[in-house]
Amino acid sequence: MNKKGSIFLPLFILVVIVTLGVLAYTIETTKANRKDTIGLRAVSLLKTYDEAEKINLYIEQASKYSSQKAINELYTNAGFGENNKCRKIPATSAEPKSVILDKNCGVFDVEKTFKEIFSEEIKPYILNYKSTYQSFTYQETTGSGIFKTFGLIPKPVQPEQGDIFPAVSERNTKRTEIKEIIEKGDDLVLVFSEIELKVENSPESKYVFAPKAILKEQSLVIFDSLYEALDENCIKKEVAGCKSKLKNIFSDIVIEEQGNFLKITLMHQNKPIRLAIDIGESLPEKQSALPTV
Amino acid sequence: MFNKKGDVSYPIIFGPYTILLLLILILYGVLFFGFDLAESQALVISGQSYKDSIMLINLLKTEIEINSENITIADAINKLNELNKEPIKKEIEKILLTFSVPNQEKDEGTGFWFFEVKKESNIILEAGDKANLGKDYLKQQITLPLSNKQPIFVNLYLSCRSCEKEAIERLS
Repeated sequence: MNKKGSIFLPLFILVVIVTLGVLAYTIETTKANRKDTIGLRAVSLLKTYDEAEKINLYIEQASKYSSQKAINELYTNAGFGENNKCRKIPATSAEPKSVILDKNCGVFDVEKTFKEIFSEEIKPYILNYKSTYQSFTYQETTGSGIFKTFGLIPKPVQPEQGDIFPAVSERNTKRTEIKEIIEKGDDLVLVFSEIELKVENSPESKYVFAPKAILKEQSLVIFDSLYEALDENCIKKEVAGCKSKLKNIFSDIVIEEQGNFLKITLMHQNKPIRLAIDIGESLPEKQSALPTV
Repeated sequence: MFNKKGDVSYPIIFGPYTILLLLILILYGVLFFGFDLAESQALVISGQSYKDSIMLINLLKTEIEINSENITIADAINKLNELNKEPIKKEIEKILLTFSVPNQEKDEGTGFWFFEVKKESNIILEAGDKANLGKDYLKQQITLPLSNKQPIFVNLYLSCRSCEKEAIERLS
């Protein structure tokens, strides 16, 4: 071999392999070390808000169905639940039963009764909630597997199953319950306890919100109005005067005498409220009215 | 011609090493340009990764007229057992036609919005069209309860054939 030039070509090949290899490694580590894509954190936050909106819609729909049952129970049981302690006028083939509103019923607290029935009814809905949050998917760069195998670039840390975003969203949503009921005109506003959601790509950040459901044309104030009208105009008063005053206050009221009792049917928001009173007996003690807006 | 002193081995060394060099260059060429190792990653996040559900939420809250009654699409889905599906499907399709799609005239691709409702993996309601041999983009999904306490999954996505990436980004 020619001593001067024979080593040149193999050395050149070695240099090419090393140089291009180092170039590939530098590109891979630069890509792997990139901490943020422009807009990543903002989009992560927006996705969290989006999840909150979805949870809110789910709770709103569930509230609609649950409140229908609760309202029906209150309307047919004089503002009490189905399992009440009130005396009753039994149902006949022509008419449903009438609950007698007197001291045997206990404390007249429509909001508390509604909350109890509603909470029981909405529980299975909330426990069935499934998150549809789509986490970010990350594209592996070409050849990164080789470098990860040799420990030249770090492997991504996968979170525990229970800590991934959809699992946290589901778990925290299932813990929510009704906190407050507010009357707003003819509507009922239900406020639930707070739900905490994580923000992807931002481990220390969280978004806390209290879901709200607005139930259109489902008011409980009518019970307070009816109670006050009965207490003022009917209890221990003349029947004729009671009837006439009630008809002045409520246009859609039907009053029927049955022995000592007055059977009252009041149409409200296209649903009948049925109850009976004994004008010789006091009404049950009443709790304070619902907050209004 | 060859140097008599030492160039006998020249053709033996030069040929194989040259071929080896070419192979190495071809390998790296494929790695850098064929597999896009040298491609610079996008610095700005893609609009598609947002995947927000605002269109779907607004669609579900939209009121439609069914049997002379105004109810939201979410409530109509709840009453699928009682109501005829066809009027609900037609109302939803009317709304889907108002959503933006890739511009066919500008060769952005052929796309249609598709709406489906699934209960325990069974499709209970479908509305809209799907592009033949199309891919699904901009998928939005939401869970809703039925009055019998079972959850259903509502999906809305763009079914698109030969759609340009820029068109999808614009719609997202």
